[in-house]
Amino acid sequence: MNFSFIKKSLRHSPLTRFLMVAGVIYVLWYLVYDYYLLPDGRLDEFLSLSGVNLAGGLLNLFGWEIYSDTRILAVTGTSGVEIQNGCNGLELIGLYMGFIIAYPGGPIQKRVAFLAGGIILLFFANVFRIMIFALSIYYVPTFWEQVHTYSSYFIFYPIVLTLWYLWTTISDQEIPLFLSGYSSTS
Amino acid sequence: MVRPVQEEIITKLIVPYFENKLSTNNQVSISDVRVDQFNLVGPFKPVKIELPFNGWFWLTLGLFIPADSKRMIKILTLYHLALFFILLISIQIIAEGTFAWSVVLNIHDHVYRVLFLIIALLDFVRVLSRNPRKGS
Repeated sequence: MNFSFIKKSLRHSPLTRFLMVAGVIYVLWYLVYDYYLLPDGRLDEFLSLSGVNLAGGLLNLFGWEIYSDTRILAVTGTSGVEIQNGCNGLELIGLYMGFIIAYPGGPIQKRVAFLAGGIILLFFANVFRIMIFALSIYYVPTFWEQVHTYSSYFIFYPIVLTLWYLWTTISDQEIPLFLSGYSSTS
Repeated sequence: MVRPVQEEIITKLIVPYFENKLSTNNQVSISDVRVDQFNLVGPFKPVKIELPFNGWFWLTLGLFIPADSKRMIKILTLYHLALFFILLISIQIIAEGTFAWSVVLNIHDHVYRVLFLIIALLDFVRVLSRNPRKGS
């Protein structure tokens, strides 16, 4: 088979190279997550339990009466929310990491620090999300489905996109976009 | 507007059609039906079938529009349109016993959204860097 077009593309387009590296990382992450981490459950369990504990503690601190049992967090008087494996932000942490690892440039120490900082930030964002879930069941139970579906788009993705953007500026490596040819502005 | 249409498509077209098609002796079945998605379960890792033009589409579009990436908007839209038919064909393929296809479908589901999002972000960054904010 002739792979010269792939070689040529890799040689000439940093964006193609970056997207291919990112794609491979995401495939690997999916395989590791779905076939090892999720069935194993320990990391998911840690994230779920610590998230529920912290969210419950914070709600308590702010004056809400809460009930918490392992993965369940409820404002007293409601059925509460159960944080299952796969709903604790771990998948999103992988999504965040893939970009930071694949994006070229930047010293390794900065990359590691940025990865660690981002993971911690996303963990606390998930704690905030769990608090929102528990409160939404208390205050607006009819909108629970919408809150559950769209919370990621309002809480997680703005953070991930901002961190990705910051990394592109910190790493100081501009990828000459082939997209510039697509855009009507160019 | 999108979600009610998705709900109609899921509850009145796709799910009844495939539930009818997947007879009781078929190893594959449909579960966890929601407004815009359902799971395909069987002797393989469950496959989440999420209708195109979901939240990811709008999130990505929300970056392409300010970047004025008309061509990428077109590619993204066409991709999602094509995906609708690809998903239906994929369900058929899995239902007929090619369970390995579920792995391909799962990997695709995880990767395509992120790659579109990354392209959108980089395009958005390009526009930002061309129009740096002026200090006072």
